Amino acid sequence: MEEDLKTSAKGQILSIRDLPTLPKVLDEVSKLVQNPNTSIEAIAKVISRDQVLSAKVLKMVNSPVYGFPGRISSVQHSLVLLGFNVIRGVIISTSVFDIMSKSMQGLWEHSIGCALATGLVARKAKLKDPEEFSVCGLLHDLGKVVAAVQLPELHKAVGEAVRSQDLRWFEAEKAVLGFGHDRINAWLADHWHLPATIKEAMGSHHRPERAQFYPLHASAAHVGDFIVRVFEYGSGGDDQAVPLSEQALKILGLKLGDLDEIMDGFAENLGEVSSVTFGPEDDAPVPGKA
Amino acid sequence: MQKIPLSLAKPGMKLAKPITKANGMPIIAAGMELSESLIDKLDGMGIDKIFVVGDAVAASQNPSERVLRLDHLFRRLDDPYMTQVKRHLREYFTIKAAADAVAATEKG
Repeated sequence: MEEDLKTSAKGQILSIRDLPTLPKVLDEVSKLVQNPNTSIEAIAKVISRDQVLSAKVLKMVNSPVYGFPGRISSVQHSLVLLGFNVIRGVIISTSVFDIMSKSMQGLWEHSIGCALATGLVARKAKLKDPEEFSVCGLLHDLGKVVAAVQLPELHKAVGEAVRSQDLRWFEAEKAVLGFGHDRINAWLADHWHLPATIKEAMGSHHRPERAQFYPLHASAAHVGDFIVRVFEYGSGGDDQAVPLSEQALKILGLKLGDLDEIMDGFAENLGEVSSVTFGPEDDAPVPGKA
Repeated sequence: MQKIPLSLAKPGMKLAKPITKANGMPIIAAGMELSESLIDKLDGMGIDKIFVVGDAVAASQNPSERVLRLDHLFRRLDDPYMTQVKRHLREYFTIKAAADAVAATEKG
């Protein structure tokens, strides 16, 4: 019975009709990438055809979330520096920006704050490709948006449970839906063919010690989520700290004291990161070159 | 000015826009400072979003504000490890706040 509910909820959540639409170029690019002979130029060319999208990508990759000192002025350059997985995550996040800021107040701020914090965690832990960790933070709560869009009444009931029983959003989801956004995240990651690293971070950021294949990604996103909540930048749907997994810090090779430097970097860059939004009024191409 | 859900309203915040009834009649004027009892009253009236003065970034970046919020944030986390984590954060933000205060005095 319970399984039936989950299956039907999964069907409803993934019913493509209502899923936030991703730009068509993403499909095209995903196909190109499957061919190992595809050049970066070819991918960049397809993305650059969509000028609004290119401007959004450049705005995001030039924010302190990714921490590149110089200005990245072209899509091709961003692909070389950050790789396609990161750019794909950036495209997905900018595509759901509107729907995210409308469906859950503060969730965009929470997500971009988590991206900043997760990237800082990865840098402190000296992990390779910290930008990919930033994307894990950026997308860690995507399931909440999709649930809000696809299951609006249940989404409302989750919000009510948060307020009336003083639950964290994740706990309320499990009480109301029987499963959390971590599960929805994993479905979405499959549906959108996201890389396994990002999928595991999205699916296991609430219990990183149980991540099977990429515990570093899950742990970094977990600690990033903890930090953005301590600073209360934006909102993941409730106003509580999440239990910090001691094991996650251990997996990352970090001590509690290592959080200090991460929090310094977070507070310092928050102002600039907060200006990264993608509303209709923000669609003007960035100065320089798209 | 920013629009926030009532659940994130805190005493001391100021209303940036008046609170009105569905028909537009104002009940509480802009500029009014929120208190615990006023927030409860708004909750009772079914208000779920309000406009407040200031910006979220400043509140997040202010270490004194963080110190004040820790007990609230950790209200359901009291196991030994989380108690240790909270103590660490309190020290961190207290030192930051003190450093800010010193910098402000030197400037002023």
